Amino acid sequence: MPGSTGAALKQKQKLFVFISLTPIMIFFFMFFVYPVIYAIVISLHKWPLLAREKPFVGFKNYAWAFNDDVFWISLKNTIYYAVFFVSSVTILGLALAMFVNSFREPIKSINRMIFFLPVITSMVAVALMFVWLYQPMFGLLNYILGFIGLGPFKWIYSPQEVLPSIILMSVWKYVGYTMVLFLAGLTTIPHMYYEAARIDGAKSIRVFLNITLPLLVPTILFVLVTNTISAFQVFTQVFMMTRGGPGTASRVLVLHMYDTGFRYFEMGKASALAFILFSMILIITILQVRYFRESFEY
Amino acid sequence: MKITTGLVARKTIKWAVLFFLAIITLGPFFWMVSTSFKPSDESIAFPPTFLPEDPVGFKNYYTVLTDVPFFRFYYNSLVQAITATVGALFTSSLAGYIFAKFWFKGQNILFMFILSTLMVPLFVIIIPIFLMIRWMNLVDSLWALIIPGLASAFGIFLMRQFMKSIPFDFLDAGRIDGCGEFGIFARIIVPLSRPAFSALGIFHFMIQWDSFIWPLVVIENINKRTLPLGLALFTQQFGTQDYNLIMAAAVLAVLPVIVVFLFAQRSFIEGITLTGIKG
Repeated sequence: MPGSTGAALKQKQKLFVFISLTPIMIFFFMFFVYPVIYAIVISLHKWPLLAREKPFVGFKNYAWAFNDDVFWISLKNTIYYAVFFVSSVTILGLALAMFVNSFREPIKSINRMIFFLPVITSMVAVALMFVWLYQPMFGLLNYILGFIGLGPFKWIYSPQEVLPSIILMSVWKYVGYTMVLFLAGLTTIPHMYYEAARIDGAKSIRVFLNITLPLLVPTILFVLVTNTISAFQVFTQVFMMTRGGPGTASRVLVLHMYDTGFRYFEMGKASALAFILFSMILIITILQVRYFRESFEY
Repeated sequence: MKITTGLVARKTIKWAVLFFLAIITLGPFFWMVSTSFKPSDESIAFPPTFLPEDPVGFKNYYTVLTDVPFFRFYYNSLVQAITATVGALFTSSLAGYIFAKFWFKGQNILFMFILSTLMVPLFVIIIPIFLMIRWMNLVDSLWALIIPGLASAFGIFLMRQFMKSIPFDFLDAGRIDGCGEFGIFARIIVPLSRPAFSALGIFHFMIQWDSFIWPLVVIENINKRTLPLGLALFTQQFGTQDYNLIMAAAVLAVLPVIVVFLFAQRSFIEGITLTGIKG
């Protein structure tokens, strides 16, 4: 039975609950329920921000989105970004966590701190730093890579290199975050498993595959799901570094939506784009969680 | 003999890898600071100089601080992030407490409803909220930045999880001593929930401090820009070649957070871990 006060709350407590909770619930209605419903309504109208006439158009905005080449390019770029960003940040984050974990305490903490530094640095500043590092003529990266015979690269100024460059920067910034999550996951693995494996003379690769990896499945699932959700919403990096260019080579869906809504003021079309992206994220998240449930049943 | 040399070799490689990774991680920061002390012509010299050969002292910083209302950006960011964080801490702890320690009809439905709002990404509701803020005449005001951050579904969840572990005896003791309901919350529950407060406080503050797309949409006036927005639009003011100035601005923007982080890194990382593992 929850609460020593029993099932029936005293009048005073009822009042306290009511007075405290009502404004908070109103907030969530105002900033989540109402906007979602409103966004659905907008997406069914031709809704130029500044015009008075906002005629109902049914699913025309959705049809427009799917018939627009730029939408498909943005979708392709978004998926490309998500796939490579999420896989790199997961694999490298795990590798980094295991590497850092193999050091003793003072060094372990210092490392953790160093690799976490990019995570707490503002994305806008990081983007500016990397625009400068990627500068094709005076940039530091081309200079350094020149010593080992690589490049010169055009980085964010070439349609082929722009997405890998943005992904590289994002991985640099966020790998410390997944590392910290994996480090926390690693501490939950009981030490005696490793001792038992050592007594049995198991090789380190087998220890990794048979102990570490299976016991990290909840962390891996968490890392994959949250990073996928945020990868599909990638915006700041692209906005800062390329605004989707050169051409449409790095245009992603949220940028496409932002431009449609806040540069061309087509709120109806932008809302339709938002719902298309939202449903994609939902479906992918459900699939990921299902896949993990079925294959690992933890 | 053979074993020890193998061990030494392995250790050396390990340290070399560590050194390499640290350079990759810290290199861009070093380069940012180094560039910010160079004069314009040296900043685009090729081959680049690792340390400024002809350092200009704080001249670039001075230019940035005087040509752009940078202190204004700091002020706006601080006001936004602190107000929203204090508000979110209050609402989250109050709601979390109620969901953890009271029972009333429809409680589960309300709690599930709050959790379900976590699934809604910002870009879905950004247009209606923008229209709402515009209708309230709050465009170009700090209120537009603060209000949407005053409550946090995740914060309520975190607080509820934490406060569930506080024994009911404490509440009863307060009631017997004649404490009012709000008094119990403020004098007993809040002090006992310190770790949850610091975790959520850091988490929410960082989200607010770094928020970009919402200020970009809702702020036009240069004097109302927050730090990320001011920094982003700063590049429009100067030619793209003035990397020494851009890097000085970037240093000014990231320095406060890094300093706070270096002093409080343990609670930072613990907070992020605590808030990160929510799944």
